[in-house]
Amino acid sequence: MTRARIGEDDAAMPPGSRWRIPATALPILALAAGLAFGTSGCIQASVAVIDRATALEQQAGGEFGPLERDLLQSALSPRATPLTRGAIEASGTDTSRTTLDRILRIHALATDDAATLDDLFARQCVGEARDGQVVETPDTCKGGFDAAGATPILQRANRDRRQLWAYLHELRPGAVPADILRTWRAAHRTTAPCGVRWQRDDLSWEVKTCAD
Amino acid sequence: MRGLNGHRVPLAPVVPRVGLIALLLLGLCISNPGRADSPDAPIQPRRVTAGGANAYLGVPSPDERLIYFVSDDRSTTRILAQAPDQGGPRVVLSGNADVLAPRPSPDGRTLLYIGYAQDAGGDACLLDLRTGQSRCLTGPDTSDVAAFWFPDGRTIGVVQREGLHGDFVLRRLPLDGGPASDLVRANLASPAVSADGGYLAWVPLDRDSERVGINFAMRLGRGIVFHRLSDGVQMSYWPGLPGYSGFPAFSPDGRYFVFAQYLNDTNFDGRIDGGDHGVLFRVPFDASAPSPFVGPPEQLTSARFNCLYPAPGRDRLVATCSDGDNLDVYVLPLEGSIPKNWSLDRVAEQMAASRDPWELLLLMGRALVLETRPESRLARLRAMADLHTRLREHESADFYARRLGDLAGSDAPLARWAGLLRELIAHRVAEIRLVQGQLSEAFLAGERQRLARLPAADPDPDTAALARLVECEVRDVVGDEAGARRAFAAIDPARLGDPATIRMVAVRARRLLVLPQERPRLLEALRTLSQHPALPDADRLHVADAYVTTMVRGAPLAGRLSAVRDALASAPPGSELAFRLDLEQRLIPMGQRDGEAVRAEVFELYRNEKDPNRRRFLALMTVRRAASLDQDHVVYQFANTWVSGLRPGSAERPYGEALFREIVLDRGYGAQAAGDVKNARGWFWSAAILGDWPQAHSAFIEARIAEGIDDLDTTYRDRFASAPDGPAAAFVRAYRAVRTLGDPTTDVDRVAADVDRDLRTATHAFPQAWEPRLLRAWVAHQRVLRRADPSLAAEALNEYGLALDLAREDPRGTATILLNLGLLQAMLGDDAAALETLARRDALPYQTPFQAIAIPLARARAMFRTDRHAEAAALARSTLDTVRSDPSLAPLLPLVLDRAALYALQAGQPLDALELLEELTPLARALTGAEAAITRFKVALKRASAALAADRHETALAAVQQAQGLLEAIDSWPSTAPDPLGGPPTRRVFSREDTAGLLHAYQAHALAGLGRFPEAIEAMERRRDGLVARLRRADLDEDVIELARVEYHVGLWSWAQGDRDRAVAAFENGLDRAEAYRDRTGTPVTVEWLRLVQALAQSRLIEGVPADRFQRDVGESVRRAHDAVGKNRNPRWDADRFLLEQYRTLVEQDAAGEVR
Repeated sequence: MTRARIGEDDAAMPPGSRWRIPATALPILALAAGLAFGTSGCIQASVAVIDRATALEQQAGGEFGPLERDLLQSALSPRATPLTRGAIEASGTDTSRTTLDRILRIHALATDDAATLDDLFARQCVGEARDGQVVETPDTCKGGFDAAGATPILQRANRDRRQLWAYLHELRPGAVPADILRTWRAAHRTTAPCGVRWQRDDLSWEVKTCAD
Repeated sequence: MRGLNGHRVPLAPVVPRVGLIALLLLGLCISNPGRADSPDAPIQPRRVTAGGANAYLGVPSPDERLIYFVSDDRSTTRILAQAPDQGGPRVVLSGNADVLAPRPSPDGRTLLYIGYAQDAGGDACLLDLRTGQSRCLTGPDTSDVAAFWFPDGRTIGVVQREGLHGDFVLRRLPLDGGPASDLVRANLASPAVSADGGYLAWVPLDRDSERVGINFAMRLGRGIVFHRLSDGVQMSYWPGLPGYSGFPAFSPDGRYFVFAQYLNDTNFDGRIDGGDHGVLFRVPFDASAPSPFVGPPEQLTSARFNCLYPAPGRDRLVATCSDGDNLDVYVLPLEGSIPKNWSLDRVAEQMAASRDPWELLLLMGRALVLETRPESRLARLRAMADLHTRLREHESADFYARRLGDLAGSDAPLARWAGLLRELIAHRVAEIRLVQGQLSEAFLAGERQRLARLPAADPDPDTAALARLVECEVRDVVGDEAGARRAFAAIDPARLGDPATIRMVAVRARRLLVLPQERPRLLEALRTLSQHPALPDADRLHVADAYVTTMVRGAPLAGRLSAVRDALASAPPGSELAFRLDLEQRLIPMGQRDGEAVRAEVFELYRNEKDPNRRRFLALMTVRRAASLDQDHVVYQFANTWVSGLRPGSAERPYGEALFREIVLDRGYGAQAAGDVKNARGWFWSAAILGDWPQAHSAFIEARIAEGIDDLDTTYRDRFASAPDGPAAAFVRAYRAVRTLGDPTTDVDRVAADVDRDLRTATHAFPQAWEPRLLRAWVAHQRVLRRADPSLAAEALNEYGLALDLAREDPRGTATILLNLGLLQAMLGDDAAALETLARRDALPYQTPFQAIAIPLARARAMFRTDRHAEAAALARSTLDTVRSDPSLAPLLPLVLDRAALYALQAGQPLDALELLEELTPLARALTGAEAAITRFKVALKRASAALAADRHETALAAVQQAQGLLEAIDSWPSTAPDPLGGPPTRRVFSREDTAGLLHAYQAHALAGLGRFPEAIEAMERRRDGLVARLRRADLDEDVIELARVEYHVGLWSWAQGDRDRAVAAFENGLDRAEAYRDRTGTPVTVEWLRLVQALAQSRLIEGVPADRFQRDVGESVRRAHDAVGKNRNPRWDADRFLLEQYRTLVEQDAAGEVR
């Protein structure tokens, strides 16, 4: 049986030294501090209860009152932040719900599934997978992604595609399904929107460009 | 001059000419300064409450100065009150149990509510608003579900349930304690009484199960029941709307009742119930008439909002609404979103301009009410059914289709058409319910039956086409692609005469003909439909647009141009198709050719085209395309061109003005970013004089000040000469006053009082503008920074929340509000909220280097305060890199170094902390000001702590000695400490003596680390003396446990120098303290207690100190400690438990007399 000893690591070490309570904890002197106000021999304690982090800040944090006030006031503002549109777009902010987008809507129609899917393609939240289906690509998604809204759309889009391939097979009963898919995919790419993410045969991804 | 993203564009005309051009083109607009939100558009509900919690069941006070509502911002619901136009909420009623359903008495002095403090089933209670005293009128014998005031103010109505599974009964209860009288025995919800007390109204409930009571399983009944109290006659009101009704409420003047209608299964769970969106309606009511429902229901809110719990006041309607997020209290005019005085023509004009389909439906509903011509009514019903179908509002679609069929007459083609539409709707409802879109056997069987019901032919071409369309869609969904295509091919568009049907054909074509080899057929179909004589112009243009979009989709540039030109060559001249193709061929080169040349070509088309619909299309399409390609010159010119052609007062005009404003503001901010303040100022002024939009004015003011020209007084005096008290003038005055509040010498309370009236005016006149709300929040925020007043903080938080909601479409506004709000939340100690808010802000660019420091520092602090120490340290470190990279930020270096060191220390990175503190120390020496001495001391304190943690004991000792010297050098120990986020100073918790005691502890540890045990013990005894004195004075638990630690270390060091007796005595003293702490606080196990027991055990059982040297029974201590860690399991004590087991084994062996 191993017997634990005080200071067994080094006989010269003080006993139990390995259990020294770390000074990095910056021991808080009190979670509740009493301030005595002596008045005519009567001691009154007014207790201020503060949390540990505040106490630590107060105990050890440097005091830069005027500097911090100036810093704060220089950051605060009562007006719009004067960002250029380019800066807004470069930040990746979803601008599809800005005032400008709303004003420029030509038709007061709710977005249908096809348009929603096109928007997801454009923002690279979904891509054209090698197996011909639409898949989520969260790593490259710009802006928000409403999974609850998008998932049914993707499911139905893929269901429709599978039915289409079956139909193509009906039209060419002797063709191998993989060939049908390959041919369809090649043709589909020509009408896929510019900027769509496209999975190559080696499973890597590229972006379809429409440069001449 | 560089435009957006740095593209070089032709120099804009110098500012005065721009201003002049704008003046010439905008014409009448500038003669109406100070114009507020346009009365030419539907009125949106205005949000009153803000924040992350739900605020609901809002009701106005009788004088309408307050709105009472329920909030779930705490663990139990509370009742709050707030003025509808400004300020933040204040607590009216709060406690350890939920309180719900506030209802102010007719005299406004008492609040009726349902309380759960005494009875989990709910009691009807009263709160005296003057004294704050509450009493409950009912007790545990009943469960009280809802309550309301009778107009006499002396009795209330209560819906009660007796027993767990009992049915409901509505009773009348006098306040004076007299007996209750039964009014109605029925299962009901949301009872209300009319203003004259003559009628009750409620929503009937049906039991959903016979096995349990109504309270556990209920469903809404249809319609609203009206009960005439004079004779007990009951009438069931069915509003003639799809879905279910709820929450009836009477207007104070008795002329209307308002209710919410759940129109559709908006959450697609298969039933319409309280989980779906509500829409508010009102119905004219005449209590004196035999049938009091004297008019059709008028829709008040758009279905884009989910609105419930209407509470009409004298002047406004209060409601609980949600726009996707939380529930909040909103107000809107009593007549709802559409002004009552709009004529049918006006409504139609608005419909043509509408950008929102639910707003369009709201307008269509109003048009239907106003329409008197039977043929037109049928056409409108058809259009509504069609739009509801496209919006997937299937219940409404089916409702209007059924109504269409009923009105048309059973033999009419329109009735057959409506029947087929209902088949289509039913198919779509079934399809939505498919799990993951997978076809089920039941679904397939149902669709086969549907196909069998479809007529093979119909004499009416539109009906026949619809039958084929339904067949096509059904076959497409079930996978019969060949059959779907055959059905579609059987449609002859040339024979069609109904626009809705023709539109459906176009949509179906795009969904069906998706194979590459089908593209020519698709294009041909769209081409044909785009010229259909039965389609309105706007719809033809829409289909033409679909044709072009399909044609160019995915094609490279050259291919697009040639395809468009070929198509244009064969398009009928003058047709919508030709127009759309012509536009496209002019737009395609944009971004590739000289922008001015492209603009000129497009403008030529615009000039030659007189049709307003085509002009609208051209302008919007051009602006959209140009904006996406950063062609800001084109954007500006076309926005300007278009809006100048819009008649003031027209439905499209507000959109045009808003577009122009957005474009011009963009140009202004672009010029500003490029350093061209003069041009920027000119652009802002152009935007400001068009509609007096607040943001434009504030941007103009800042640009003018940046130019160094002091003529704002005269500029605005001239501008607002005809309306000096108008809302725009008020906003400008308020803005100019509050922008000075950043200066700490400004009398913030005086400024707040001065601008209060102006801000009320501006907020009221611009209800959908965030800028006045931001100013309100800003004023409150600045006042909070000077005074720790919780009510001011509540106002600031609320106003920021409202501003954020209103700014959701404006990233520039959102950026400012998030920053301000996040810093306020951090200052108030709401670190979790601050982190979330500032993280959202972080996604947008910073504007100034100081923002790039202030925000990360605030975030790091919030992380530190929420125990995310490593993240705090990393963020502070990266902020330090930012400071070092920008010489203008050099004054911030000491601050950032200090914070980075503190967070590194807390993150267990003492070497990093030490390195930072070494850099900070000389900078701290150079600090000046009132806080310099104490800051220098704290730097030394942190150095000592970091050195100890890094086992650098020499360094630690030196740092302690330095800190002691610096502590002594502080003349007067300050009683307050500054708030790091600019708030009012806080009371300083630690005294000089406390701090000196801490230094004794550090000194002791440093000396012990160097093996200088006698000195270490001496220092630790000084520490102990200080703690004992404070314990006597303040009797704090933490001092007790600290003394235990002190004794432990004294014991260790005594042992190290061979004084075993002293060591044992210290361990036992420490154990006494640890056990005292346990008894005082109820903490069963502390690490101090465990260490001290182990130290004693080691001394006695292993090192062999004789038992007579101990005051206590060591074995018993070991047993108790071992039992305690066994009973109070904690992974942190696993090693201790193992050790104690060994010790206990030895103890038991000794007790058994065994030889070891």
